[in-house]
Order: sequence, then C-alpha cells, then structure tokens
Amino acid sequence: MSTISSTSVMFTGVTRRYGNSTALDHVDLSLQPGVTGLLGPNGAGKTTLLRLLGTVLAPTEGRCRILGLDPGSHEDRTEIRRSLGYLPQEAGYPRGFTAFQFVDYVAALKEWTDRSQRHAEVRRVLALVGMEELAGTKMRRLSGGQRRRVALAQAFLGSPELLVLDEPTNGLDPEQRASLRGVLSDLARRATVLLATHQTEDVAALCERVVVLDSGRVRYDGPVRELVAQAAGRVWLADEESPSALSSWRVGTGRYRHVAHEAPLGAELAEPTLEDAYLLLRGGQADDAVAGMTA
Amino acid sequence: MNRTQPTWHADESLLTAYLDGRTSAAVSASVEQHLVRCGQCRSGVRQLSDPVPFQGIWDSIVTDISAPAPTRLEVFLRHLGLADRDVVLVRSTPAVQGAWVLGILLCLLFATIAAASGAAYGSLLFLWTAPLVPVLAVAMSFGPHADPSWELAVASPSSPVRLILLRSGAVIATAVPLSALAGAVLPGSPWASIAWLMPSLAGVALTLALATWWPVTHAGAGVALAWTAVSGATAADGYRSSVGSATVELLSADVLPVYLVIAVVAGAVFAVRSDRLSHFGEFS
Repeated sequence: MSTISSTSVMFTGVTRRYGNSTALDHVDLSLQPGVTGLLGPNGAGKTTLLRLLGTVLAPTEGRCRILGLDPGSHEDRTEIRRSLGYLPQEAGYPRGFTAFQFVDYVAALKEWTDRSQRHAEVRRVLALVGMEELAGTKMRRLSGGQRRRVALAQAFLGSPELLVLDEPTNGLDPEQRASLRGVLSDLARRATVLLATHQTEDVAALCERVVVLDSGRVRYDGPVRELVAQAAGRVWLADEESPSALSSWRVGTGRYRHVAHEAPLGAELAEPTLEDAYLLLRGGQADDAVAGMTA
Repeated sequence: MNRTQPTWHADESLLTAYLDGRTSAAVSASVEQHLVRCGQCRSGVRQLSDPVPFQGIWDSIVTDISAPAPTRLEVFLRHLGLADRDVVLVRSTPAVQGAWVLGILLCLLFATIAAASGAAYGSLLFLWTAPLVPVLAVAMSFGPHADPSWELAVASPSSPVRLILLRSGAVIATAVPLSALAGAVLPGSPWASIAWLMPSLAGVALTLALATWWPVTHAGAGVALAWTAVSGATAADGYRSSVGSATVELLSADVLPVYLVIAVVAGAVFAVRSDRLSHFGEFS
C-alpha cells in the first residue's frame, strides 16, 4: 500500500449520469477514519456514491482519490480493492452455497490463496457477525437478517482499511444491530467506514459525522450533533394533530409529535432526535435553514 | 537403567537452536539424550518454548476438521491439478450449476432427435446446435445477469480476466466431451462429430472478444445468430444441390482454417482489450 494520509477518500465535483438522468451531481466529499453515516431518501444517489467508492462504477465527471490512489488507473484500482470491504445493496450468492462456501468464495476472490489461513479467516468473520453456528447452512435456508449478516461478514475479510456498507442493518433485530454497532466501532478505530442507511438511530448511535444526500446533491455534511441542533426549538409534543407541521405522528403515549417551524396550539417543546432533524432538513423551508451548512 | 548426573548443561543458544530445528541430526540426538536425564535443562526448554506456535497448530487443526467436506466437483478439479483457490472460483461458476446442465441436456436431446430423423438432416441439426452450446455456456458464465455475486467479484482485487477464463474453461471442459458424446451417437460421418469443435472454438473466442464492447449475453446472442444465419444459408444451398452437403461444406478442409483464423484474431482482440472487463460500468 502506498502512502495513506488521514484523508482516506477525496471526491471533487463528482458527477455520475445514467443516460439522461443524473444520479450524482457535482458531489464533493472527503472521508477520514471513523464511521460516517450516509442518509437520504430512495433515489438520492446513495447507492451510486457507494458504487463509486467500491470501484465498481466510474464517474462521468470529477476527480476521485481513494486511499491516496486513482481508481481510474488499472493498477491503482486493484490496489484499492485489496484494502476494501464492500457490501453492495444486493449481495447475491452463488446458487446452492452454504454461508461458509459463500464467504470462502469471496475470500478466494480477495486473494487468500492458503486454504488453511483462508478457512481460519472465514471462521473469524462469521464469528464476528454471530453466524459461526450456521456456517454449514445453505444460504437459501437462512432468514433475510441472517443472509445479510453473512453478506456483511465477507466485507470484514482481512480487516480492510476502507469499509463501504450499503444498508448493513437491513433485516437485523435490535440485538443484532447493537452487536453490529460494537463490531463497526471497533473496526473504525483504524478504518474508514461509510455506512448508507435509512435507520437514523444507527447513525445517531454510531457516527460522529453524517452526510445527507438528496437528488444527487450533498444537502448536509457535518457533525451529527450539529444537525440535531438544527432541530432544537422545532420539535413539539401536543395533544392534537397539527396540519401545518412538516411532519407529525402519534407516539406511544397517545400524544402527537410534531416537527414544525412554529408551535402548534397547546404544544410543548421536545428534545430533538436525529430523525427529527433529518425530517426538518427534508421538509420545504427547512432546506434554506441549513443551506449554509452544506459542504 | 543407571541414570548418572549430567556433567554439563545445554546453554540457551543451543536449546534455542534445537527448538528452532537448526541443529544437525547428531546434535539434536545428543540434546535429546541429555534432556532425558537433566531436569534443569528440561525446565530451560519449557521457558524457551513459545506457546504461540502450539496455539497456531491447534487453530489449524480446528480449522481443518471444521472445514466443510469438499464436493465431488472440487475433488475432481483438484485431481486435475487446479490450485485450491481456482477450485473455489470455478465452483462458483453459475453455468456449472443448473442452467448449464439444462443446456447440455437440450443438446443431447437434439442429437437424439437428429439421430432418429435420418442421417442428412440429423447431422445438420447437430452441426447447428453443438457449437452453440459452449458459446451460450460462456455467455451464461459471467456478468451481472448470470452471477448474483458479480458486483462483489468486480470489487475484488482478483483479475476479472482470470475469473472469466477459468469459468469459460470450466464450461468448455464440460461441454466438449458431452457434445462429442452426442456426436458419436449420430449416424453418418464420424468426421462431423469431431470437426464441429473448430466453429465452436471460433464462436467462444468471438464471444469473449465482443464481451469487451457489449454485455456478454448480447455478445453470445450475436454469435449464435450469426452461426444460425451461416448454417441456415449453407443448408438452403445444400437443398438446391443435394441434401446433406451443407454439413460437408461447413466442415470442409477449405473452411476449417477460416474458423482457426477467427479464433486467433478474436483471441488477440480479447487479450488486448481484456482490461476493459475490470470495470463494472462497462458491464452494467
């Protein structure tokens, strides 16, 4: 591996088009070691951004540097892939494979030539995601959450420097998600982790930094606490629904939680969460309020 | 046995060299004899011996006994001398499982129907089908449409060209003997049951070369259509003169070098353009 500065990923003005539609529009992004969350609605360009980082897609325009290397060059791309753990959104598996065989196959792709060492590594990563007991079970017989954990295990092979994970917590129960957070925060001591998700609570629990994408553009890039702070004074609890709120829903206590710029009738202020802040960012006028924070 | 007290002790450097296996056979035997009699040096060995290698040995035993038993395909491929990592890569070939077997069965079925329908038409039907089987098998052995874990394969440092050639080799190695077997049951010229390998080789090389421009399925379909057109046109000519001559024309000594030239040129194009296969964008 050549020189690795503290900045693992540097994207400048990166654009990706598919025919006439633009999936990413002049995105600037820099990533350092630690966990960064990537939030955004469906179609925001999250998967395209992750594919670019996973070196499986080339940008239409712009400059990409990953681990100090140029993914446009054949040699550099191979070198990046040696230090990359990648979990795509749809991580399919060869038909008839067991969990062990699937991870073993990816380990073979990742140049683990010695069978004994490769098998030991496969057992290690399966244990990391709590799947060692089901290693011999056919993938098609596993539940959706179990398959996701096996797919995640392959990304941990060789403890990579850069982990690019698309919806890693999909289908996991709360206990498994908590356990995964432990694994990721351990890895993030030396690795750069980018985690795309719809789960704001995963980002709140795990990430110091969050990037919000919308329509192919970066809408927010900064510390999680600063995004949450944007929602201070705009989250309310009330007994009645409020039609003027950007978003409102009935909580377990029977009251209504509102994300709104103005206090609904008889409402009291509530402590904002990352989800409230994200809804505020996504809702109408809220965009202007945070425009100055966009990277 | 009379055990006398030793008159000397092995120093640390000698014991370390012995434990590392760096001493000669004679010195090792001498040290061992001494250790049997000398408690002081035995405890020295205990202090010097590193527990880590033993843990490593134990771990490798656990790994070996808990590893899944190799499948018959894996055992066969290892017998052929394929490296362990390549065996794992070939085992994942989508076309080696399912769809591919179906293709071979269809080929055999065609050959059987052909054999039952009479020598002339039968040979033509076989000649049209047999070269297509390896071409379609290669088209089904890699790419996002055929391999559910293709995106992972692309994001890995493994050379995609190596993966593609390994998989193509695996499907051809299965296709050729089975198609040859089907050819052998045909009535008529035994030449036809072997000579079809030439257009088959050209078709596979052309498919791989075209896959550096188009998705491999399109490349395979294009080659299949071209072969159908060529064999159809030749058959039509054959009708006008004498039925059955199409087989002879397509596999005549004049035509066979043409297939060889196509195979060589397409192979060279693939070799030159193969790095285009390493980018997912080219495939999607």
